Amino acid sequence: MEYISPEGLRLDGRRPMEMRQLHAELGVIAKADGSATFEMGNTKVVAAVYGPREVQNRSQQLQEQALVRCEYSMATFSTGERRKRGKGDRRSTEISLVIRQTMESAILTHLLPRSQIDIFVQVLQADGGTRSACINAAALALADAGIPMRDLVASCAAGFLNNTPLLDLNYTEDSGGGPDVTVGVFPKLDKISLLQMDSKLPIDLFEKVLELATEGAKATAEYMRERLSENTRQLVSARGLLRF
Amino acid sequence: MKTKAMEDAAAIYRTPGELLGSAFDYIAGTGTYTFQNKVYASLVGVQHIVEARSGAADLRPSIEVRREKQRGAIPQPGDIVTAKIAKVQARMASADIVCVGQRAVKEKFTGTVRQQDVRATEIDKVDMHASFRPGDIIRAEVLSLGDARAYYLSTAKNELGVVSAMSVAGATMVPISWQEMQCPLTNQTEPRKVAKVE
Amino acid sequence: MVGLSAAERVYIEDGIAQDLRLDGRGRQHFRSLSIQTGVIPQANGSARVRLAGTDVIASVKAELGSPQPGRPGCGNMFISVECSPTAAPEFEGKGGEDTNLELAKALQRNFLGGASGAGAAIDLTTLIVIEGKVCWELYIDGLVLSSDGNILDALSIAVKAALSNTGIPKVQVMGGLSLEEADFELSDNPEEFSHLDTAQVPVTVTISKVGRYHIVDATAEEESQVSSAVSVAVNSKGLICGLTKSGTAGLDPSILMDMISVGKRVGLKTISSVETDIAAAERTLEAE
Repeated sequence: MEYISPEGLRLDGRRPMEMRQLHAELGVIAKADGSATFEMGNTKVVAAVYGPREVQNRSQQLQEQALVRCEYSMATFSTGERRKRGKGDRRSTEISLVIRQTMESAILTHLLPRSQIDIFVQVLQADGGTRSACINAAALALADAGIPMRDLVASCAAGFLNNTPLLDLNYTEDSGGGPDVTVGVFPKLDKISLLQMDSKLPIDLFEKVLELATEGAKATAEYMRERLSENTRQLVSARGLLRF
Repeated sequence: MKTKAMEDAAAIYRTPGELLGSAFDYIAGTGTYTFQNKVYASLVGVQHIVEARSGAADLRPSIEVRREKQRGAIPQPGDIVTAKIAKVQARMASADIVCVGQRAVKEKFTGTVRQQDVRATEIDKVDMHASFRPGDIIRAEVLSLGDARAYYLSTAKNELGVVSAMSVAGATMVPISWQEMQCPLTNQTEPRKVAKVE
Repeated sequence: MVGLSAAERVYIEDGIAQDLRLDGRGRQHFRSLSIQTGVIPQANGSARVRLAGTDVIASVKAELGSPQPGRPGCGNMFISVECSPTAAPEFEGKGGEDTNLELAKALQRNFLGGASGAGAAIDLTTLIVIEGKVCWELYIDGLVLSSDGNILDALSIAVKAALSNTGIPKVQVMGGLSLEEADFELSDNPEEFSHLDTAQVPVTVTISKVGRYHIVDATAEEESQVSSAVSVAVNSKGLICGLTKSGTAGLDPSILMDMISVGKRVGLKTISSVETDIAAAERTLEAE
């Protein structure tokens, strides 16, 4: 199958190094301590953070740090074919674990000992890059909840099809049988927090694809910072107006 | 003269991970952390630089990131909390913490007042049932995060103790001394560790 | 929630008695409602409804299947609900199963009609492709993203909007007479999609009893004080399509009739504004 036209355009009209349209919103769930939606093209996810709160299960309580928990669920209508079971299957369990570990490395857990932080991610539409969208939404939700973090986490994926590195694969490209490299970075600290790949790739090509994914993640981080600052600006000016 | 609008326009917004300055120039305040001698932001909010108090040992200004959104209240050691006594036992009383300072909590926390923390004098002769009864509202200070089950609370100061209690007859009692409260309906007095109301 | 103190409970009850609730509403006012349709492009129909802090999504997916034995002239409709843990931590893992089932059953009662297929929200005979052999099956899925009370009413509005938004592709049957044998060609052209007749689709209004008074569209805080509630599904002709009583307190039959008539009155008012909102949402969608 041809993923890149002779003119160099992908199936959805993008160039190989082009990311899909990003869109994020903060504070979307009324009762959550922090929440955010994140869209990458047609992939839409919503994340909610509840915490820090008292640990529900005493046996899991950690004396020196916060307990971070995460659950990933997919809506029955999120994929083209209707899914019967949105959570509890192996893929959901694995992604829950990945998100939890990535966010835990960002949170300054020693500042909130003996507490519990719950991160819930709900996928509304899955069109490739779900893992990355979930991590980005979770990071924004944690920031919205005021949970202290050493840095934001931004994530993006890249692949390799028709001999070209491609940034931010959609579902059709993802199903193309080529490799899929997902990376999660601490943009300001310039460190990699998550790295996953499936299929196979020679080392020199892997470095190119990884670099592309990291560039994508950093660009995503810039967008996320913009949205967070904009949100703070709105809250500050709302407060200012009330004063007069 | 800086108007509020001008101040708001000049505000610097920070997000987690942003480099704020060198640890040699600033003390890390709330919402920040230090790493390898540099101060970074850990929260989303507005940056504030607070000058050191004159005469303080460390004259560096402290740099903070203050959130605009309020988070639910969580008891910290030193906080004055309002709690409702749930259970009174021979050596301790357990209470549900309802407010921290002036703010109500979003979810319930459990606190324990041990026999030695009820008052400041004669701490080994304290009779728990003569100090608290279930249903009393107390003002207490958080001593520490306590054990796995509950925060440790103390009512040892004069202004701490029972703030509001119902008598056996069902009326709200009036405090008469630091040890007794009186029911307005029956004029009977009941023993409590009463908070001194200013 | 921490739980309301005695003073807060009295405040809520007294406010309701004086027709002035915590957010300033009267007893029979709905909160501000916003409806968006076509939010899930890969579904046949979808809608997202926001009722202040309550946020729900309903999607309709159409698949080919066989009619149930005993009703060869009717298509099938299935409704299920899922409460996302984003709405509350209690819905994590299997925690939401009871609530999911309860909400699904209430919606099924209102929308699905009887065992014979009669009285359903939409005319199930319009879903037949080959009489007795092949029909359309509509899978309606509700997802609760955020909750501040009155989830059932919000879901019913979302289902009505999603059904209005649903487009069924044109089917051409080639060879064979049953689901397994025949080949089906589905049209990809949105212009050729047929829409469902949703004129009879009801809207649910939940009337909750707090003290001696009834309120409509309770917030989560108000719901914690409710002793019993009646959910009435009303369609645009003023007919009652379904009834569910919840809560543990018993109701005097005259009070019950009172609550049902309040439900019908508010329901008629609500359904007309909901239908206007849905039409506006569809026009916005087309303009995009």
